[in-house]
Amino acid sequence: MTDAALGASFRDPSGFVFEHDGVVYRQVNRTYAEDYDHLMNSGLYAELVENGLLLAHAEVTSPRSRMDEDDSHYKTLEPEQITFVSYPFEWCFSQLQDAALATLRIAQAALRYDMVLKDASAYNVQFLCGRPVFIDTLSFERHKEGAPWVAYRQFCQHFLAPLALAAHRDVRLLQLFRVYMDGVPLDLARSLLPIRAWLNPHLLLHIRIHANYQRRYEGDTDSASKIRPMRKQALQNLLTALASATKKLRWKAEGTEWADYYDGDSYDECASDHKRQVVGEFIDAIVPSEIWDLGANTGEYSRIAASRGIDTKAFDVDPACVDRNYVAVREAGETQLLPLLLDLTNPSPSIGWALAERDSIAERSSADAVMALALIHHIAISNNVPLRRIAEFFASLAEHLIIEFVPKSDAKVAILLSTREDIFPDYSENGFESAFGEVYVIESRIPVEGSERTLYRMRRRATSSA
Amino acid sequence: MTLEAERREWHNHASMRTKKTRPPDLTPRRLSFGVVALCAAAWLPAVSQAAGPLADTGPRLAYVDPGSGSFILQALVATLAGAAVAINAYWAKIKRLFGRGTPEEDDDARGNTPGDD
Repeated sequence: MTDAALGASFRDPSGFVFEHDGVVYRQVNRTYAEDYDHLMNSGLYAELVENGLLLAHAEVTSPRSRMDEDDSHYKTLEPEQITFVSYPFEWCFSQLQDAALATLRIAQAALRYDMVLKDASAYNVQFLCGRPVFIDTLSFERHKEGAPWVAYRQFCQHFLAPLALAAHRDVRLLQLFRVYMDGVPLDLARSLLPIRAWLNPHLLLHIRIHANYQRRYEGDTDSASKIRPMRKQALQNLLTALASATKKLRWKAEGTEWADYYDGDSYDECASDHKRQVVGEFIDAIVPSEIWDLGANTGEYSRIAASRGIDTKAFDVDPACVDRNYVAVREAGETQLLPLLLDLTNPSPSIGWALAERDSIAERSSADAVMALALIHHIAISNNVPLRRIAEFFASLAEHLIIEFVPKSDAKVAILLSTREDIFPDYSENGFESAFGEVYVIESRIPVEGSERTLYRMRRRATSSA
Repeated sequence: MTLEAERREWHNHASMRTKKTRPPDLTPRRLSFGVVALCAAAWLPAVSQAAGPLADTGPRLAYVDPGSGSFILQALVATLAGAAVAINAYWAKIKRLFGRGTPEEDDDARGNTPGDD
């Protein structure tokens, strides 16, 4: 097998993405040749890449994909390689909003070069070096005079509707992306949004009336004759209106359980200093190239890795924490840290056609090390997962593990146990070490000074590699 | 106390401080005429459809293309957006005429990055 088309790459007749010897390439088909040439020769590609909005690529002569059965090959591109893709249901509000604005800026730039952005899918945006970057080179086509924006509906479903739902109803509704791969259906958004949302003329137009128009003209065989030709200025106006609609939506990251965690009292300063120091030493001993911090909160400990130049993903279940973390990354221009939303008790599954369009979080892991600080009690006690199973899951993600054990005597665990029966006889330091010891070799064990917690550095046993 | 007197008093008070800050905007909250007009205009098609689709949440038919409505709506959206821009521009002019113009508040600055237009 020399190559394989990637699972998500089958919808677009303009070309496809394939993998060869571990490198991802993109084939441009002959049918797309003129659009591709216009993208490259008009100056649009150069402008977008210069502004960090589009993934750069190089044209290469080989390899040719075996998927190219009908000889439709025009060019092979070797894009800048992306080691990890995240999905919109793993983004916080601000990430989705920034991805939306980036998409609109690209569409506006395209129009200046007489092209249109034909896809406004959130899946076409990835966060690279802390910024949203559009990755689908084949999403541009030459503008046809009078044509409306073909991606308008997609933009509303992928960006405006979920952002409006988060801002006006509940931020957890961003998770609708997990069910609706092509964004939130507008009639669903219409029925979920509160009445006050319709006081916003943008939402009234782009969601409510939009949904009504969809309903009114669906199945209307004569609808094509009702589409009015749009001048280029009208398209610009449309994009400006969408940008203004997107920017006006606000969600404030506060009031959730964890967003104010570090303002609380779980660690005294001395213990926290020692914990930071030990985590740093553990990271230096492992020298990972990529690290996943699970239960990262607002990324305080993730930054110990990121500041060493290590590619770091900071996962947390709390949308407010992820949002705060992302905003901090954006404001400081941090490039090594990517905050993402993840519920460890129900992690991102594989979804889409044949379950192969979007990979599960475990399939996407290229991390060398997993960090699980102040997390184990939430999984073992709040969610009743046996310690051995926790070890196995972590081991399936990465070879190395930095983990903190929080004993029952800890104030935080006492809170978890205060309203429930203690059915966790094995939840002790000994039980923890013996359960994890079956899956990992414990390489280092350091009690955190001034607390009852212990930090461990472990390495997956060769036989238990998942 | 008139607004002018209040403003003068604030100025006197402010002059005693070392750091000079902007006086508070004592005029009634600036109402963007364009936004109000757009709001009103946007409701028209909603009202015209009140009898039908507003209450509808039924399932979709299997053979329909949800794209047509999106294409048809765009002309309306673009017209309203264009009108809002024009009205805002005129409104700003009128305000300047009466000396009430303030430096345009950069409402859109948030989220923009260098290179934004």
